[in-house]
Amino acid sequence: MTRTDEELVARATAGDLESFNQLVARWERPIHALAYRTLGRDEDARDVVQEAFLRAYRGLRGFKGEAKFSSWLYRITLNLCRDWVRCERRAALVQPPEGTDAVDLADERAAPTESVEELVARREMSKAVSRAMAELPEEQRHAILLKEYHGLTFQEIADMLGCPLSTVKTRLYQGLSVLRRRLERQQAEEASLRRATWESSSS
Amino acid sequence: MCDERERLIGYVYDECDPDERQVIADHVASCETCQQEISGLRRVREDLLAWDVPEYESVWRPFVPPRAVSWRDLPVWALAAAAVLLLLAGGAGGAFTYAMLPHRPVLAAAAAPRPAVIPASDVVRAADLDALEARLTEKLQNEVDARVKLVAAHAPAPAIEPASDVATSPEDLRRQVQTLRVTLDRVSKAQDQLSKSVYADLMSFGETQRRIEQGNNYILTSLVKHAPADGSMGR
Ligand SMILES: [Zn+2]
Repeated sequence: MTRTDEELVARATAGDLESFNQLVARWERPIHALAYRTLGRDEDARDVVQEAFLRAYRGLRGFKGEAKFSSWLYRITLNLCRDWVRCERRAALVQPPEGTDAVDLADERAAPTESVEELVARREMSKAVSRAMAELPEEQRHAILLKEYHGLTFQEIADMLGCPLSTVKTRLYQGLSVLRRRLERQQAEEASLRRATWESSSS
Repeated sequence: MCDERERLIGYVYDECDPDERQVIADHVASCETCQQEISGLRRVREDLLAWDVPEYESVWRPFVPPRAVSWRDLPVWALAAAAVLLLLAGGAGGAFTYAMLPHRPVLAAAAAPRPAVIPASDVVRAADLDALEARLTEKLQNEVDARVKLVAAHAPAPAIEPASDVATSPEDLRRQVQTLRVTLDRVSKAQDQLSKSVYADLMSFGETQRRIEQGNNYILTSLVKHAPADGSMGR
């Protein structure tokens, strides 16, 4: 039998540590993904995961269930990431993610049918997206992260970020439009670069 | 519609009511600009899927229910030492218990040099307990010395010899050991009460701190009461 988050929260609040461990097991990956995509460094993201759950545990009694547990966790995480960037005085967001070298690409193919070229293209796109996202204003980036990678509804995002629903849509629209222009330009540049390489090597 | 493109967002994410959806669909059917806008938004959403995240292995060290590591399994001196450590950790609050067990550094410690990362495991291991024991022993020795001096300073002058005084006969030594044992026993009883609740509540800062203070008072009171009545701490 699988307990809902709400049931586990109730039990954890009553002192059942195992229930809290279950909540962690259920949510640590999404939290890690959110922290990673916000900070751009795996090591930092892992630290944030741990701190987020410690904070959640300490604040469990204060969690009244007016939001979903996951939304509450996401908010804790985004706040931590914000503090993190501030404290470390790092330009964390403009650094390329770790582990994006071509060294172990062969092991990372998503599907056996993916060719090395496709894989390289996907990794290039991954880097391009992370760079483009890093340049967005924070509120647009948060809206896109929560919508695209965590599947929150407009209303959930609005509640979480404390803004009207229409604002969420505006942030999403503006953010996606900027990303679209950047990614299209980048793809055009890469295409012309490939053409130039091809022409110079074949002449 | 072409003037309020935010409305297309609800359509693209399929998160608008049916009436609105129909209005947008009707418009888009006859507007090339909005068609391009929608396909552009869909394309960028697909591109976003390429952004992957590194492999993740849990960094969480699960909370262990109190019974899994019973404080009763520890010798009396360890319980006493734990009480002493709780006193020392008063300022640090509830982070103490969690911090005693190895785990990844938390955000607050991020600026400090990072200790080696110890992988999370399901239970507290014997090595953890050994390390804990070693630390407790050292702290206990230091703290008992300090407490003896403190008690000596507050006791009536004739009753107490200077703390540097050494026992001169087996009889003195036996009495000292007896005294210490009684003291530790009291401390450990207080700590037993304390740890049962504290351990379950180990990350609750405010609550933990309040209990530490209670325990602190209890222990100080019993130490101070004990020494002058017995009158033999240093002899
Ligand atoms: Zn239109």
